[in-house]
Amino acid sequence: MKDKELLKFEFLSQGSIGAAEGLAEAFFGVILTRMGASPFMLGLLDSSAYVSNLFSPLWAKGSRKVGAKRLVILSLSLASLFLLVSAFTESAVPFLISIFLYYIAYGVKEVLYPLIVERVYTDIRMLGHAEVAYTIAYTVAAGIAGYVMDSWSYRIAFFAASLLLLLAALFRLPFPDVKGDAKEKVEPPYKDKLILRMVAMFMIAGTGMLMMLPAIPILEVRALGLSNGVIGIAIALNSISYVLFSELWSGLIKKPSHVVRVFQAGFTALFLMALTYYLSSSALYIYLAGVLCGLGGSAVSIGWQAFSMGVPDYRTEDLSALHLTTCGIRGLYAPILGAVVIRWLGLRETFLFAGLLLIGGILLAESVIRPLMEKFEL
Amino acid sequence: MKKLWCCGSEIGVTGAEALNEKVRKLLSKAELVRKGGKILILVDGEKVGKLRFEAPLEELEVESAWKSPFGIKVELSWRGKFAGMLLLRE
Repeated sequence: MKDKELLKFEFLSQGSIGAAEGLAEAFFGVILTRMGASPFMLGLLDSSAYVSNLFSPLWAKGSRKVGAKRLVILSLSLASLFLLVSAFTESAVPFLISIFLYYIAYGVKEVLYPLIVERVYTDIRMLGHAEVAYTIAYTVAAGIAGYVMDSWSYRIAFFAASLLLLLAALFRLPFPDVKGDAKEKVEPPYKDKLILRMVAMFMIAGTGMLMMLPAIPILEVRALGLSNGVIGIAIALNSISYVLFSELWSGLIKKPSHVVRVFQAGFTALFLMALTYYLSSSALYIYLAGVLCGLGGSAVSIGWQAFSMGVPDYRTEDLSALHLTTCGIRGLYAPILGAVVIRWLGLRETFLFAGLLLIGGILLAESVIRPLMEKFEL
Repeated sequence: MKKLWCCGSEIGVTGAEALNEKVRKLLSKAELVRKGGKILILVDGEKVGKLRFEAPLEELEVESAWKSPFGIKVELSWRGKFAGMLLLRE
């Protein structure tokens, strides 16, 4: 099949995945909170999204033996099954276990999807359209999922999401199978002190960001008593803000040192988000926090992409691998740390603690600007 | 949703032959200059790239290329070793 014909299926698959994620994944924390989960269980839920990162080399190896397409179809089908199982669970522990399995299965697709599209499309820019379909579907689905959950049951949304993931798997069938190459060994630049200082900055600020994850649904559901509909709108606002600000940051970055200013802007937005959650007393605060989260998250993502492609001394792939590895590490421990801090300091105080870490990231960023200009700008 | 702070998938540049030709043309006009501890690639006095170590320009090969906000980052290798990059401003 030609690129353009396959793009139709790419569009359908990505749209289905976006809608499925908006209908179910966006609400995992909220549903688990409503089931009476402890902060620690919520921390485990958020960490489990990153567990699959640990298995990335295994999936890459598997794709060299059986082909990436089969594994991606299997991944989406299993994720669909575990989502369906989660919809039948009655209490927090079985729900958490089924979501953990969902993330493990879904992780395969996240690792192998780039391999398929890299090989299939001669013009990779075509994928931009499919990503737009994903984002629109995610935003609209998250916006309406809350009302579906409030009016009927979260199970309806989860059934629909499970079906959509299965469809997304079927839409992958027309694609040719590809086998991964035995890739050249990636060598992240662990010995460069300046890069390590950047990593430290991300570890500190990123820990602040990710430790808020278990606190957010507890605040929304138990402290503010918000409905799923309201939370869904906040998630949709977050998504819209992410897309809009991604465009803004891309246009602003002209030199590697600009990236650090973008990181600082992102950390500041996330600090304000933490402060908004701390002060929150109604849905309006949660909407504002959603917008700030999109603003900050997009700054960090676009900033690192630009940084890894702008630094002349290292391969883009090596810098990208460094970011993904360290991101996976903090993704594992930071939500659990958040749960510990909720117990230790209190729910709202956790946001202040996270905010302090983000300020630490802003200050550390200031110290890397000059050396970065001297070392990496032409 | 993309994992928070984990969406760093860069987009590679396709069209290897045309790119190779363009890079080769540029390198044939380029000179290496040491400045402030850096090894810079200059074309008509303009900085277009940087190397990690001194290597013969004619022996550099295109390893990969990335479309970035600064232009196309062309990663160069010398005898299989990552040597630095060339920035193609569009």
